[in-house]
Amino acid sequence: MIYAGAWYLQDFLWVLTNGKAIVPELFLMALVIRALGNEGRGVEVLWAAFLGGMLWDLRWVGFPGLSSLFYVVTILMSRWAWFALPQSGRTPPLFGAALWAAFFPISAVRNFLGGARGAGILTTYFLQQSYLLPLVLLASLAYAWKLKNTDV
Amino acid sequence: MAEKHQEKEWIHGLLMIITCLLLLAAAPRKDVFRGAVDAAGLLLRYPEYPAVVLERGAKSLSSWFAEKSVLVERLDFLEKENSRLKLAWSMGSAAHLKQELERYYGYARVTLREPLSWWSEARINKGASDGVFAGAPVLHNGYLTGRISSLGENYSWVELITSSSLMVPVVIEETRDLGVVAGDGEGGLWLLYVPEGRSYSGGMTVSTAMVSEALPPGIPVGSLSPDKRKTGGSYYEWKVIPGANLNQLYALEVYGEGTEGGGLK
Repeated sequence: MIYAGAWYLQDFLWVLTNGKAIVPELFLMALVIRALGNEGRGVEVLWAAFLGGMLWDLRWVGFPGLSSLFYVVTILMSRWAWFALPQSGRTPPLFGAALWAAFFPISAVRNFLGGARGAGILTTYFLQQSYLLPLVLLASLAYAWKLKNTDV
Repeated sequence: MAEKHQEKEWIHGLLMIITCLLLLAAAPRKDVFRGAVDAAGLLLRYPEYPAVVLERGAKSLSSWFAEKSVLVERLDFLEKENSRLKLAWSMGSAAHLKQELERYYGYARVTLREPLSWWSEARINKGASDGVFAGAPVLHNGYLTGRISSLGENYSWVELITSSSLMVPVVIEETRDLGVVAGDGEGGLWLLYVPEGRSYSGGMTVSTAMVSEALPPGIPVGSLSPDKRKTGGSYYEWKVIPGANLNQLYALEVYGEGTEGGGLK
């Protein structure tokens, strides 16, 4: 349900802005948060990423498999890196860093497909970051809060 | 158990990656995915409807604001243009009135009436060269309005009957009683020195009396009002309603001696 909600919200924003503004990758954020927060839900998150990415591609991109490929690879790499760390090393700052890094590939793809070239790439990148960083910060705070409650 | 989970996850992941790569390899053949793309659009048409409505609303709101701003600009421009046209029209109208007044033979146009001495004096555009002389009576609508107090070659100053310093000997036609009419400097005109016991009724005619040499007798001044007031001693003052319309002094007739029949040149 959380995947569908995040996907719909992202799609809603995309329609609302008529494709003229950069919309935050809310769906990927929900996937990564879910993937890093639950070790046993890997397959579920991967399928959600695959299907959600496929639907996004069919609806907006026109290259079926592009977004889903990046989503799936991002989830696999994030989980591999995150769960390779010892339990004590999975701190909120590292969670934030992993989340932030997970967005880099898809941001680059969106940047390129959006038609940005030359100096426009940098402008679009900073614009993407202006949406992304507050969301990453919020997710890290939520993770820290969850961690604190689990310890108690 | 965890390792088995991880293994399963990797297998699923790799299968998905392979599927994605195969789909991407087929991407240039757009007809393969046309049906799927159409189906996705159809499927999402209804969930996306609120966003479409909101987007259209925002767009029409923004264009409404843009149109309003254009209208405000236009209105501002028209208001300024209207002010300019009004000014041009008033100037044209004033020039027309001036020409009309100049056409009346024997009449002098009022060229200046200062606000500070509104009820005391006015300047006219006839002077000594037109036969005007100091002390000559000035009429409006056939009623006494004042006297020439000073003059130049082409202009004269008229002291109005409402001025507190001009005193005109008058007679009440109905009773032949003599008196003096003077203004109070604030637009009022009073018949002075009415002895106690004399009673007049409103509407009695007041004309100039044959007392002054400069002022011919019989020039109507106005009529008595029923209002009176007591002054020092045993005298009353009766309010006089001037026959001349002192609120509409555009042109005045000077009772001159410069030409035949007493008119101006």
